[in-house]
Amino acid sequence: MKSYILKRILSLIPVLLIVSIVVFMIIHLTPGDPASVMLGPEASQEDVEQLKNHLGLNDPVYQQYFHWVEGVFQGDLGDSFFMDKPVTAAIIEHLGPTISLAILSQITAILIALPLGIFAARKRGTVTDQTFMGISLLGISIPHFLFGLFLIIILAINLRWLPVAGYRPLSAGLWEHIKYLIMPAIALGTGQAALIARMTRSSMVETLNLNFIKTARAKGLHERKVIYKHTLRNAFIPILTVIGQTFGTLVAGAAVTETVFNIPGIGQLIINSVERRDYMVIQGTVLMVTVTYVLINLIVDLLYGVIDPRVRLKKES
Amino acid sequence: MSKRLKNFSWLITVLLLLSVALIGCSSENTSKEKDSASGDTAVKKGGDLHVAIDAQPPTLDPQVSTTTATKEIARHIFETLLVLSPDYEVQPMLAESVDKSEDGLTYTFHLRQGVKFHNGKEMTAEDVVASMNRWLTVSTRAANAIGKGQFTEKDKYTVELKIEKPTVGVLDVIASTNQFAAIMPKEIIENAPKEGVTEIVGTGPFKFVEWKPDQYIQVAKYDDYKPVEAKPDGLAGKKEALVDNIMFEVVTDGSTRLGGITTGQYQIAYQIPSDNYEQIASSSDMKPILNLYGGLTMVFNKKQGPFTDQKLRQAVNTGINNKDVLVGAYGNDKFYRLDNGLMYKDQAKWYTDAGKEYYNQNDKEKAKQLLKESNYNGEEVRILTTRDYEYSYNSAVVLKEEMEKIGIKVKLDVVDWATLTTKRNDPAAWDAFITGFSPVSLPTQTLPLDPGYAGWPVDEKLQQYTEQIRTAPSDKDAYAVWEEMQEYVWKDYVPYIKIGDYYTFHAYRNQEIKGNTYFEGMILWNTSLTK
Amino acid sequence: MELVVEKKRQLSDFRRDINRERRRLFVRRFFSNKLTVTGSVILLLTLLITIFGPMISAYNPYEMVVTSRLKAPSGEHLFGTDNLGRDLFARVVYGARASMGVGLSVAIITSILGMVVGLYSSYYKILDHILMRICDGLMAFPAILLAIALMAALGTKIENVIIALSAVFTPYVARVVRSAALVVREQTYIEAMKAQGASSLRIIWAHIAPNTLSPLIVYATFIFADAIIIEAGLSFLGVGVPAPDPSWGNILYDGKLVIFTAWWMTFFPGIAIILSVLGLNLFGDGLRDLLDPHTNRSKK
Repeated sequence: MKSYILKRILSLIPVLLIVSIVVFMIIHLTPGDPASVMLGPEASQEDVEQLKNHLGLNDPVYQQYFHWVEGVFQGDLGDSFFMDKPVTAAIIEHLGPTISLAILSQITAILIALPLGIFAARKRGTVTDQTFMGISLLGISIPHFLFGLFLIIILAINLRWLPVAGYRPLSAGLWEHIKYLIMPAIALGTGQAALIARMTRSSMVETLNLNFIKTARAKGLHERKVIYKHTLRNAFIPILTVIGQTFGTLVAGAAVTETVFNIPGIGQLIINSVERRDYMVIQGTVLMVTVTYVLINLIVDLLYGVIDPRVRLKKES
Repeated sequence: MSKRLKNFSWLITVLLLLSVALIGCSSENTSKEKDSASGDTAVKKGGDLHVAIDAQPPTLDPQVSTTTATKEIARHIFETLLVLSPDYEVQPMLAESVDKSEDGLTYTFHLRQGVKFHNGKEMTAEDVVASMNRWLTVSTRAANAIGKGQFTEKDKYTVELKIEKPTVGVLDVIASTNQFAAIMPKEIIENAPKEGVTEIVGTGPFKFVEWKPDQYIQVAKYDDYKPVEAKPDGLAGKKEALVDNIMFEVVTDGSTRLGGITTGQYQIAYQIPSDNYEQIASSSDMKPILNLYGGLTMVFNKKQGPFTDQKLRQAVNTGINNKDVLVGAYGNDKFYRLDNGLMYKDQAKWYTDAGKEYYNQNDKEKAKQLLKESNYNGEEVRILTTRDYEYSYNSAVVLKEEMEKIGIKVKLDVVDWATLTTKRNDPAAWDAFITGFSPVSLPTQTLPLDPGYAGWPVDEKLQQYTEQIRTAPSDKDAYAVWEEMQEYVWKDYVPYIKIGDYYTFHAYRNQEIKGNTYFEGMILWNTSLTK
Repeated sequence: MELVVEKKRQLSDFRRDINRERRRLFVRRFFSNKLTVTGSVILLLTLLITIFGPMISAYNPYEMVVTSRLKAPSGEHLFGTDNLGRDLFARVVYGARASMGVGLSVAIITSILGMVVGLYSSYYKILDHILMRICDGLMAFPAILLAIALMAALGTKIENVIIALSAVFTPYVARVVRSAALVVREQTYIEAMKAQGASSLRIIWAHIAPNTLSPLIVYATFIFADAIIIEAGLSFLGVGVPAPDPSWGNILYDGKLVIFTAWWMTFFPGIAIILSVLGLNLFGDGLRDLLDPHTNRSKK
């Protein structure tokens, strides 16, 4: 087990190396530079050149890369050109909204998905089941940001129930905080819900066909007990995997939705930084996102073993 | 059946709870609205002002950056020696008075005494000298207008500016609002890195408190602020902070700003999309503020490519229908003004309509004739534009159509703003680009006439005019030359086409705040909450 | 001798019958699922509109009538007009070309690239290590972010959208092909062929490749759908298909600015996206149940 974890963590290194090189290359191939954005539309060329020199942007790219990597190994992701603070601080500031949103979306998703999935599994093969499959596919087919736009038109513009967009930190009060996140959470949650529900259904169906369930039924156990106590527990691993994976996507994949709702999260941070060419922030954030993403997958894999001892951790490069 | 219902009962409960919560929210909103309607409108001190600003400033150091967001926020924190009144007259602020020497080479500024920086230190000549000399080096625009100049300390409350040759409009430049000459403590200036000061300390009615990137910038009332004793007049006159805090909330999305101001989340929202003007104007609790933003301009590349040919540039200017372009760019006719002044109509001192017979001709036949006379041989011209400024892109689409009607093949090169600023410096990368220019205080500061600026208007006659204006013995003589120069620009050289003036609008909740004014940006001192 | 020929003939007849029967069954099973049929119909309609749509539209999608900006849907303008006074129906219909075109191109390109990468890395151990690490690296970014960064670097052009999305999706396809190929590769007859000295080229393309086709086709359908979604996202952020060419995401971008006053600019392109993606997903699901019941789609 320990050696397995170690191996998995070691295998992260080449991945991160590749990610950092790819990001660095993309950034420096991109036209535009932070200096001219900072100085504004009416700045002169000389002023821009001067600032570029000062920021070290005219150094050879490989030199800038090694300089950056050197910093990363010392736990220093560099400073933002724009925010006058270290990249780590900027990331931490933007992490709060993203995590709040991810948690709320995931709660929404699970609340919708589990009951529906279980229900469909019990009705497997019927018209109800097929309808359910169709609806869940519809959930996957609507882009989150588009669903968000529709929600804005209905809930915020026509009904005026919720604010159009924006974000209030938790310190402004729980309701105030949640009020702004309801629509984005529904927009993100339903898509995830569809995935989780489908996995719940198929996993349940598979387990329901297993012998021990049949035995339990034959013994005359109450149907509800069969479903919730025996089947669900044994069907839970694949469900957990999907939940883990979707959570990973929520952390950074919600960029467009964050833009629609103007939530100052990680996704927005990256998009804004690309717009402003805030190189250090792009590099640092992408690195952070990658690590999180891979770590979540690792944790999910490890949880396998905890929940179901039958699953031994083996192979899979 | 009942069994199935039972299974669903908890789900239904959750849904019910959710809808109760939603209804709770909506009723809360309506009760709030009632409050604001019944609230009285007496001036009240204190409270927080929430302002939705459309972009995050790259820095709060106004000497360094030319971006609007920097100017809008920094003007509440920093002050300048002189300021402009709404009719573009120079007025005192941190300097009590200015003397100009006979030969026009020395300006003596007498500073106001007892002005304190936000860090408690008194502002004296050494701070002013350090600030102004830095400004002369970091602002190319200042250097261009003033030439080589140097500030020196004469005594604790007097500073002197010496310049090399007599120049028109020195004081106007010192008072100008973009990339303005903010006075900061000497120590901060000396430690300032190139990309902007790290400590935000000024003398203004508000002091800097906190900047949460991509969320908000908070400024608070500065209790020891010492106003000038004069009637408030735009940026000039008495300033008083009537609210405790101003929260500049960064909301980059236009419809979100609109949503926020509609629901009362903000008292002021900058830059509302122009299509929503009617909605705001017809509302009883919101008012629009229209403001001149600048001139929509297509700049030609005169260094390389087809537009090095003057005849071709003239052909475009002759053929296009400026009105259609402006309608395409801004929609509502409240948002544009057909006017050929390269200095704006509002700037009485410099405005002229010289050359107006060459503006907005919409004469496709004559244009085709000019095209024939030119060396244009059917190649594709590339117009550089960006969707980050919707008007730039929208006008490019119409311009493309207009130019194709004359017989010029056009390709739009749509990039993001950061790419555009870099790309336009490469003469091989574009043939024309579209942008807006905000008003400047002197004709000689007009960017697209600067030979070093993208587009490179290197032209002997143009240079001569510029030099004549700069060294003219009086403003009147300078004006006469400027008239000639503008005529030359429209009639012959056509280095760029000013399509027209354009306005943008901010919105504010007129039942909740009062006293806010506008001059080249929002003015939020002397502004109070009414409830 | 006679007998042998006769036997062979019988056998081939028998085979043909079986194949015909199989095909019949396949088609019947395919059409027995109502969802799959619905999907196919939607997909077919979308494709028809994409190809023939421009013929049914009375307006030019580029023509601006500045005086009739933001008109609500009416008999004259079925879907209303946009912020530059262009007919929205024409724009949505023409936009199908960009959106579906990008989706289809990406699906085809990633299938080819993913197949090559997947097959070769399943066959050569060292190559496998290198290629799969690169794939892991690329897959560690959320798809939309990688696409945004690539578009910023490449510049907004429809070709670049296709390149960027292909770069984003190829690793996923490669993974699917590789795991299908690995199963075949482990089988004894491949080992036997190797021992007999068959060329690797032949083994890979004649024997392993055909076995990866089923999961590949299923997966490509999903990529098609996802590419439409991500293209819409990119264009919605203003870094996708460059205007003035219409694409669904592009129209949404314009629509966001006027969402308070012109719901139709969000609604119609939105419905177009949902329908085409739903059609593809339903169709893909049906295909999967038939061809390759074990593939699971993972969300990027």
